[in-house]
Amino acid sequence: MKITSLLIERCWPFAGSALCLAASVKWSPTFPPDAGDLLATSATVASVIVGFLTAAAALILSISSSRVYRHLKSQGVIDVLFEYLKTAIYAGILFLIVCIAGFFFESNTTLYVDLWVVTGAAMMLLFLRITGLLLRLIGHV
Amino acid sequence: MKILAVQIQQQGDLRLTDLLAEIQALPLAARRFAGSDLRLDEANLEGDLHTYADFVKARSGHGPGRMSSHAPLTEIDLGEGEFFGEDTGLIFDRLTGKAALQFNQFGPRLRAIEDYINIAARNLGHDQSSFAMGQCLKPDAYARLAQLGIYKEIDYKISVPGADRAGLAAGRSVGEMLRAPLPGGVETINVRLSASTKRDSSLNPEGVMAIVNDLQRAGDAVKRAVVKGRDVNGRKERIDLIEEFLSVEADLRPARGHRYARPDRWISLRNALNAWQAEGGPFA
Repeated sequence: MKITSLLIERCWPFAGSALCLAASVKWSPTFPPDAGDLLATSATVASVIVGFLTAAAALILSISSSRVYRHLKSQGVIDVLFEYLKTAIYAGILFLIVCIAGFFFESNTTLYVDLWVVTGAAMMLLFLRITGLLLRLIGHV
Repeated sequence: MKILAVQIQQQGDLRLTDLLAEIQALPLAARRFAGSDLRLDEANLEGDLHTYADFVKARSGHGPGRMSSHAPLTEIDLGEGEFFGEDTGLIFDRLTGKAALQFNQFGPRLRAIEDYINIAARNLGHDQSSFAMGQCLKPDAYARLAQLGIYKEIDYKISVPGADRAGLAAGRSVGEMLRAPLPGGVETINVRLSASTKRDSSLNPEGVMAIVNDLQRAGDAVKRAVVKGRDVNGRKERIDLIEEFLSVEADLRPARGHRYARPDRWISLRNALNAWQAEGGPFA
């Protein structure tokens, strides 16, 4: 498979979160004794990010009459952008579910900590990818 | 109908005729690749020497209407999922890659057809094969360019697509595309390369010819291209590459629906190709 900039752009957040998972497996970090506060804060951050990204979708639609948007739409670029946005929102929701699940199950296990690390890293990196592109898009309008 | 002279270069083992046969074996709805609005509508692969193809795309924006000398213009009703379509014919010599391409202002053009063919090749698993298509210059333009001993200036204007479907299919990232100029910003770039003001100074001839070759490949993206220099006798020469692209005007009678019928267009294309090849020169 040829390594293209599009392939790198599609994969780097997942590669980054896989590295975080590998680091978590290697060094086996543990939560502080009372993990409830950490999980609550994590869930709040995930909610804010999911909310922001949902609002970003509306922001993109608000520029739908601009020439730049129509050009990018006709060339299929907006579809890729929406795919990135959707992935970031789903990753945020998944991290939110993982955080809430931590209140009901034993959270200070290696498996749960690894799950928390990989979903949290994926959410943050996917968020960074889409916000970078959105800011660049807005710069053209 | 305007017909352009085009050279097709095969890069890799795949022959264009075989690729067109592979595309034609697919149902019509499956002949659009990577969301492209272009498709191969019909190809005739049976002749010994030539392959004929018709590429079509849906016409976007304002469409035509119906009128007469006694009636005002009215809309032409279209059914659900129907569009006005535009077609562009292509015929090429299988051995040499010399081709005649119909020019249709609203239909698929040279760059779009080249992109379509290359995207189709990749999508059908021919990663190692591609095709380059470039417009050919008139024979005397080649001679005049070659006779320029001193290249003083090359000046061209080319439209910058910024973000396009072909870029995505070729693996350009969204970030890379958004860094390029987009509509609303810069749409064309002007480049002027000049030698120094000394009488005998010249641009590098290989460099100039490489740019000329690239401009031929860029097809209708080139808005202006002029080479200035002095010939071996010291006379000043100005060669406008847009005017010097080899083309011919074919006189066709519109058929049903005031359209040029496919068989008529293909015959005109074949006649133009045969005439250019009979003339000799670089296109023969």
